[in-house]
Amino acid sequence: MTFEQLAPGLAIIGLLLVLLICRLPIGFALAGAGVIGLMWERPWRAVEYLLSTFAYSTTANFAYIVLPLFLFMGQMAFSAGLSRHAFEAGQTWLGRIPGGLAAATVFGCAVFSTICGSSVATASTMARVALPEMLRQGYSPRLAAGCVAAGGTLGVLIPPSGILVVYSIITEVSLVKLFVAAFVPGFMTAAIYVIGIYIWVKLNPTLSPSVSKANAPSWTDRVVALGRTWELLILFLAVMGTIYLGVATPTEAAALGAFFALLTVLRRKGRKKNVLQGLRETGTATCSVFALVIGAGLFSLGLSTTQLPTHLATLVTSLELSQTATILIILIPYLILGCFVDGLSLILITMPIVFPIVTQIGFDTVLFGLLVTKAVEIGAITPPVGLNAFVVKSMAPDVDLKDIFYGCIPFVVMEIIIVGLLIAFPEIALFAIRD
Amino acid sequence: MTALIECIERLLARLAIISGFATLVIMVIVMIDVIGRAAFNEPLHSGVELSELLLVSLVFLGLSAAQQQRQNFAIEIFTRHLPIRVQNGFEIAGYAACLAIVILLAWPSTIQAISSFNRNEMGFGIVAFPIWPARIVLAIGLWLLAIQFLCDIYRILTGQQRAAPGHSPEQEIAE
Repeated sequence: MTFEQLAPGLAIIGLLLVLLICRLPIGFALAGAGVIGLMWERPWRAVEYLLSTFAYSTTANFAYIVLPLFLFMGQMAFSAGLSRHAFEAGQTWLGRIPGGLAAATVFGCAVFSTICGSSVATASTMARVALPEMLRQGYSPRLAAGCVAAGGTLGVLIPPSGILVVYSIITEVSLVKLFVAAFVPGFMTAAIYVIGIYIWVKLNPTLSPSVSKANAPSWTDRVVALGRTWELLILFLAVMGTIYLGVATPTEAAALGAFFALLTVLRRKGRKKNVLQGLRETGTATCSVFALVIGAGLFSLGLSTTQLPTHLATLVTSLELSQTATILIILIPYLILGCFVDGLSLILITMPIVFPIVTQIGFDTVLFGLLVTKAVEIGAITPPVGLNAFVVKSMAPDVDLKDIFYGCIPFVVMEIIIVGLLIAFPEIALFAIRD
Repeated sequence: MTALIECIERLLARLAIISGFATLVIMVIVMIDVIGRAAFNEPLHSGVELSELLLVSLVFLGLSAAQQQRQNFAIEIFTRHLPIRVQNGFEIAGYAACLAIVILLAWPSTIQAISSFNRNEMGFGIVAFPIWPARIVLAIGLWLLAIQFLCDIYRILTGQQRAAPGHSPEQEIAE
C-alpha cells in the first residue's frame, strides 16, 4: 500500500479537521468534507443524484423514530422529577453506610437511567435533587459533585441510551442486542461506583459525616420509599421490560414509554408548560442529532469512495496484532478526543474510519458499541469540556469546578477498570445475547 | 432590514413549535398501531409511512430553529480565546461555508421534490402512500435553513448577534 492510495482519504480527514477548527457546526463540517470527497472521486451528475435523495433516505426510516420518542420520554421523566423518588428510596436503604448519600445518589442515577437515555439529563436532575442534600449534611463537595457527575454517565450506559441509538443508526448493529447487552455492564458500573465510594470514604473519613444512630429509617419507611418509585417501575416495565421480553420493538416500547412519561407529567403541576417545553426541546434536539447523522453519512460515503477505510482496515490486520491490542489502540484516542468533543458527535465523526477495522478483525460489534460508549462517557467527566461537570457546576455554582473534576478522578479510575473487565471478560455483556 | 430579519426568525421559531408536536402525533400513531394489533389483530395501515413523513417534518422544519438557538454542536475550544474580531471572522466564514453546503443539498433536493410530485411518487407499502409530501417538506426545510444562515451572517456583519443562549441543563439534556 502506497501513500498515494491513502492520500485522498487523509486529505478529506484533514479538511474535516480544518472545518471543525474553524468552528463549523460538526454536522455541517462532516457534510462539507464528505461532499468535497465525493466530488473529487465521482462525476458531478452522480454526486448530484446522491445529494438529491440522501437527506430523505437518511431520515425517513421508521426505526429512527425511537430517537425523538426516547428523548421526549427522558424530558418528561425529568420534568416530573421522578429522580427524587429514586434518590429517596436509595437514601432509606443505603443512607446508613459510610458515604451513604453518595451511594444513594448513584442508586438514584442508576434507577433513573433505566428510563432516561441521556447522561446530561441524569446528571442535572440528580444535581438538583441529591447535591443540595449531600452538601447540607456535610459531605465534601468533591465527593458530592463527583458522584453526581459520574452517576450521570449511567444515563447512557444503562439502556435506553441516546448514544447507543445513534451508534445503532450509523453502524446498523441491532439496537435490541445493544440494549440487552448493555444492561448488566450498566448496573455493574453502578455497583462498582457504590463499592468505590465506600472504599474512598473508608480511606478518607473526612469526606462524609459520620452516621448518627438516631433517626434510622424503619423497615416500614424503606418499603414505603421503595413503593413511591412505582411510576419509575411502570415506565421501566413498559419500556425496557417489553424490549427484554421481546414483546415490543424498541420503537413500540419508546412510544409506550413516552406515553406513560407524559401521563406522569400530566398528573403534576405546571403540566402545560412542561409538556410544551418538552416538545420544543425534543424537536430541537432531534434536529441537531439528525443534522449530525446526515453529515456523518455523507462523510462516511465521501471517505469510503477514497477507499481509505478499507485500506486502513487491511493495514491494521496486516500488523497481526491481537484483537485486544487493536481494540485498545482504537479506544485510547477516544479518551483524549472525548476531552474536546461531546460523545455523540465523536462517535459519528469516528465510526466511518474505525468501524470497518472493528469488523475486519472480527471483534464483536455489540461489545465495541458498549466499549466506545464507555470511552466517550469518560470524556464527559474529564476536563476541559466534561459536559456533566459543567452541568453540576451550573446547578451548584458554589462548588468549585476544580473540586468537581477532582471528585471525578476516582470514578475515571473505576471506569477504566470496568472497560478492562469488559475487554477481559466479554461474557459480562454478551451472555445475554447469545442464541 | 433588522425588523425583517427578526420577523423571519420569529416565524422559523414558530415553525419549530409545530414540528415539536410531530413527536406527540408519532407517539399516538405508534400507540394506535400497537393497540390495534394486540387487541383487534388489525394494524394501522400507513402508520409506518405517516410516521416517516412526520419524522421528516419534525427534523427539517425544526432545523432552522435549532440553528437559531445554536443547538448544533461546534468545537469552540480552538477559537474561544481569540480576539472577538477574529472570532467573528471565523464565524462569518463558517456560516458562509454552511450556507454553501446547505444550498448544495437544497438545490438537488428541490429538483427531486418537483420530479417526485410530477410523477406522484408512492411508497411500496400495503397502501400506496405518497412520498412527495415528505420530499417537498424536506426541500422547504433546507431552504429555510439557508435563510437562517443568511440571517446569522447579516447579524454578525451588522454587530447584532443574538445573545448566546445560556446553556441551561434543560437545553443540554439531549446532548
